[in-house]
Amino acid sequence: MTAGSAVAITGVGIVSSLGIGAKSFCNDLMNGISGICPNAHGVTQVWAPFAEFDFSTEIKRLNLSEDCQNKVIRTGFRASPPIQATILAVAEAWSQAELSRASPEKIGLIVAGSNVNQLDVFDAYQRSFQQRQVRPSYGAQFMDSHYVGSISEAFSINGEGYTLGGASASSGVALLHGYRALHCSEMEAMVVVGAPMMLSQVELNGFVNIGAHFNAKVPEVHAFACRPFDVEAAGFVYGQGTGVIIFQREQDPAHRTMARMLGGSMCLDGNQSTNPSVDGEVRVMSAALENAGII
Amino acid sequence: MNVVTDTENLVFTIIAEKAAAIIPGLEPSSISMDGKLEDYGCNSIDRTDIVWMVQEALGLNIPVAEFSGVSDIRSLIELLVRHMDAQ
Repeated sequence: MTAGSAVAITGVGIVSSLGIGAKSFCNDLMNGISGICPNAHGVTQVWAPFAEFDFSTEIKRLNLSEDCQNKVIRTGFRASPPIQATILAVAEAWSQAELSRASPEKIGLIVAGSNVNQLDVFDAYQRSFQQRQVRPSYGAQFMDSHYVGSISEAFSINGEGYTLGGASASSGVALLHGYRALHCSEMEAMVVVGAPMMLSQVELNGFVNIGAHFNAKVPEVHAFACRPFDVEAAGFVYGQGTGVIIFQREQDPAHRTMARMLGGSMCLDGNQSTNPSVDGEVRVMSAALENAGII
Repeated sequence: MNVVTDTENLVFTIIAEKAAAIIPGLEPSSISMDGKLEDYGCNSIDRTDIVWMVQEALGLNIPVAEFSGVSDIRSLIELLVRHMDAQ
């Protein structure tokens, strides 16, 4: 594959506070429906938690082969809710891209995010302080790479795989790496996963104390708590969600192209704070347009 | 033939419930006290989690080293019941 050529997006999956499925997520966004609700017992006043679902039932709704369904259910059945949600989002994208027909060694996996399971870490520490036993599987599951292992097992992915961190921009960084992997590796498909950020009350306390999380009077319409770019913006609202995109080479006629990625770019501002930089934004947007061959 | 006490039956029921919560499609009623969790598709991590879940349900906190002699469901029940009696 030549450098700078487009890659096709052949599958998309989403599980969030709004429920399951990319199509319904899109419709909800278009209709202004929000998953933000009061958080009666939490550190924050409002949040957008995962919608509840039955894992096995939802997997069986998807257009997957019986073998694939059984394997996904075997891996996800005992998994924690965020891993189940992530596997479900991968399954949605997988069923669209029909990746079961591809060679497992040519399918790669990137899981975006770091320190994604602070909720379980917090629980394990609490138990430890109370001299209670920590769940044994925690020893194998506290690392972010557990997502890579679980997804690769559920879908028999045998190509390259890793986690990739870039704070709030992790998914963007992962998309660019997925795009690049199709240009410079043997991979023919890349599954790019935005893992849910499961924050404990410790991280949420930090976000509230630093002024990043919404902590003002809750508006009558809960969704109005979150208003980025507004003069009355008062911080972000914590939400739980996971999204998946599958990239394949554009030349492959076997799949349906939903969208194309033409290129991308990223850069640092040489700054450890989270404040925006107009110079950095202009630089990275210009480089992305140039990389995509648009300017 | 071994006589099974009410306590042993209770512990067995909890083990079967927890195993069924880990393995999709596994019915608690299909599990035999004479079998091994391995026979029902539980891998090593599944087994340690099941033991932990049963201890949670029974309010036990048994040192891990004590499980080294456990080889099947019956010997697991014996160990758990011994600790329940000691409490």
